[in-house]
Amino acid sequence: MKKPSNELWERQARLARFRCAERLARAHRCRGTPAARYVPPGEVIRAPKRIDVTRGSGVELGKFLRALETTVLVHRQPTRLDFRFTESFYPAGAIRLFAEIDRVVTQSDLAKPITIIDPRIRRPREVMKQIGLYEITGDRCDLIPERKDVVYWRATKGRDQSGGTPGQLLEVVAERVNSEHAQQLELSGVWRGLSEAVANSVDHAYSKARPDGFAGLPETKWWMFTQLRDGVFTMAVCDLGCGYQATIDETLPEKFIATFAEAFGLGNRDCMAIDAAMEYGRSGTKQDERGKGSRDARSVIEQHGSGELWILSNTGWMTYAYSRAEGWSNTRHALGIDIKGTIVWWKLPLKEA
Amino acid sequence: MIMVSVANNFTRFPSGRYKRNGETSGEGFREKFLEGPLQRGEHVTVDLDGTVGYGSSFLEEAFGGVVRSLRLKADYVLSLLTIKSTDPELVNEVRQYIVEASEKLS
Repeated sequence: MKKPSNELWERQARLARFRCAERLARAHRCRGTPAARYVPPGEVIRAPKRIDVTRGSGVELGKFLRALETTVLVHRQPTRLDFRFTESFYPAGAIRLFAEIDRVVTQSDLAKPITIIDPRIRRPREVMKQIGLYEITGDRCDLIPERKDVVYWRATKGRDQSGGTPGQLLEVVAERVNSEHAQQLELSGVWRGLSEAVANSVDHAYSKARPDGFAGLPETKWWMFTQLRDGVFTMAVCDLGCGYQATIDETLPEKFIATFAEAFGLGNRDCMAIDAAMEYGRSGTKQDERGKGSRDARSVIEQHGSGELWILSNTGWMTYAYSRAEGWSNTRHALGIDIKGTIVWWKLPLKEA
Repeated sequence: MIMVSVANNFTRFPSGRYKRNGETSGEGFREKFLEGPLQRGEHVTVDLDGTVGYGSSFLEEAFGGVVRSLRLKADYVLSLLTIKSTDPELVNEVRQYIVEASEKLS
């Protein structure tokens, strides 16, 4: 028999290692996080420890939501979501989880597509109860949220631009916030940004199909979320539409996009699309009636005096920070995952009374 | 003269541009309270106070939109329309939308 060459020997060894790893993975002995591996239909899906899309936690949440979607909507199997090991919720992750679970339940034709296994720790359980996850899935939770950092979590959803639902929620939250803080939330300013973000979601987010084929829901189109924690008021609006990049050609003039893209240079295209929309609104070129929504998004913070505006759209993430002394500054990031939608998120610091 | 309070006669939560996307839209307000009287040449006073606030889509479609839909001149609309608000910036913004819409028409 001919002696194998070194290259052939190494290739065979590589193949053997790969096949061994595959066999181990099939036997569920892989060391990957539970949410990161393939989940067979009907199996319990373990939720990540941190429900967040930034700070590197987005990949786990993304895989968790993909497993949920595949099980319920593709394989049409009811599933149990295991939140026992979940410890913390962050606003962007919480609103995305809320929106995706609502979407899956709405689109599924199963009687009870999702059952929640409660978190072991009280705080995440209180958060889930407070934002209404148990109501969406139809599970029972007799817990009454008491923690001060939980009772300000509020979530709602809507299918059109009618202002009643988000307006009433915002009024209640602002009243409570203002009773405890010296620096007041200016309701008219906050409403301006919020109503325009909702209008953008309804008008543009679902105007084109997403690359994964999801064309939008027949009813629910946006989700809203507020939170007060450590003296910072947070408000976010989320949609599961096609994102900024797919819609800027209908919301901004072509010439402006071309010029801006050239100046932006290489980098995340979703970030470019977000920044182009913001820049168009800021520069106020007065062409058509377009681009006013992003100006309103900034005006929330300018009117408040300081704060941050975060816009996450598909794989892009732009942060705009403002203070009266230093003006505006922005930072671009890549999320590392596709959140399949858009989250507009304001953070307004408040002074304690 | 016709008096219209957005908060009392329409909604406390004005939002959005088009009627197809919600009942509290600028287009809905324009059709219900502005187009008829302005077409007849009647004077209208719009009180903007008492709502939670206004998005620019609502204001632009309500006041800029009336110029576009009736094809009126800004001077004519401003002579018939009185905007009342405790926030002078809001009044200026509305006037600006009317003027800009008229400029784009001509």
